[in-house]
Amino acid sequence: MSAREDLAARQASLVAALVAGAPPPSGVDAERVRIQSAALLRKRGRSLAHAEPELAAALGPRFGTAFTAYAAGRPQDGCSANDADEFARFLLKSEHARDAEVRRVARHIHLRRLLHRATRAAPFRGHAPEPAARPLPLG
Amino acid sequence: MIPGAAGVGIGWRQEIDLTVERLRRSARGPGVDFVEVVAENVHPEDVPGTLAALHEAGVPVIPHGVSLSLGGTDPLDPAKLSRLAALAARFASPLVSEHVAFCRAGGVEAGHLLPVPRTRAALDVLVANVREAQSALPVPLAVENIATLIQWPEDEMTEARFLGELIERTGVLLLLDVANLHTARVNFGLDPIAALDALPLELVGYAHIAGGMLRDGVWHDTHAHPVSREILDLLAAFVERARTLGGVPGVLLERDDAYPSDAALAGELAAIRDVAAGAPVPAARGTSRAARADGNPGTAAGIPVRGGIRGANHVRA
Repeated sequence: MSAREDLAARQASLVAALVAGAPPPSGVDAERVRIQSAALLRKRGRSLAHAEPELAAALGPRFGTAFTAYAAGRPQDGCSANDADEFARFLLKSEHARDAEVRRVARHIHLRRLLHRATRAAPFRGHAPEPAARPLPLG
Repeated sequence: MIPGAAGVGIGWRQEIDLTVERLRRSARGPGVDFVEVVAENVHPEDVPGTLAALHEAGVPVIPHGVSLSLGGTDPLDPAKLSRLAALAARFASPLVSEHVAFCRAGGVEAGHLLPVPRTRAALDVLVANVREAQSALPVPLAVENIATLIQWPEDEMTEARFLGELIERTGVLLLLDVANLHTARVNFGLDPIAALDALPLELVGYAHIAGGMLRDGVWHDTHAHPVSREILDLLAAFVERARTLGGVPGVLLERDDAYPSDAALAGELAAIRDVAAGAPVPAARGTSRAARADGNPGTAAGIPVRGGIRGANHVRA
């Protein structure tokens, strides 16, 4: 393995440990990786709650556990709007969907994302192509 | 002359856009001499009105990238590079800044700036990426030392030596984050003063300062807490050294979350301005005005505007 390939593997191993629940790279302090991983999850959750305050309000104190259940081991795919949509879809399939307000807000977020994808004329420059939407039954 | 910024700046964020304008205009306030914008959050062709107004009022705007992944082995994203270039053109920026870090690997986003192992192989990757970025940008590039909780067992050199070699090989400028020197002190027991003494401080384009918090026994550079005294002390140590090199570059406060009142931000900027002007670090936050009332000689002096001697000594090829 070349030095560059070795570096790439080490970097990939750290990222996998931080966002996908993989073991830490050899020789790297496992406790620090755990702390960093938890901090990243909180940061991602804060960012989502900031972008979707209505959803954060609907979940209230359940937000943290619901978001952790969704995000732990699941790296963010795409931008924060995409993360919010994925989280909304996760909630609609979870026990939280029994809460009418959570259900209403989550559906709204998912619908808005579908509309955004269907109506925009050109991709926003600088973003990676997004995965095709798989609509959930909204009835 | 070294491209950069002078005076005191603040990270422009949509959430505090009116605050920034008020701080800048207030006759009794600390003033805002320049701002920085997170490149990923501002589209060059759809600049928020409040930011466009700052630019039109002559306030320098520095695009600051957070996801280029200069230390990564994946190829640089041309869309991210062209966005940085377009923002620099839009604002006629004096420079653009990014980080000595990687933030994705193997196609997975970390959502964070991660440290590269300080090895020869990683330095070669950084050098190649920095050169590529430099050739794509219309203005000079500055790279920042990051805050981290994690270090690699394969590290072969100190951060100062690593950054120094990167700077020497590429001509890139340094964006010195003094809060991140504090992070390294708490998290790894590294001496920030030794780092300051080893870094090429004459090549600092501007400096960052921010608050953080101790959690789980480690320092988190949150940008969501007030700047603590120990970090202002590091700014003072940097300022003392920069003065002997011909001038203190601009110092920018980063605040990204849990925004305090306008008055609290004004107090932080005033304290930073005082320290950048050579005043003693206030004993506690909020005492900078008292220090000024005491007639402290250091506080009355403006921040030396860079140029002149320093510029003449450090013309770059």
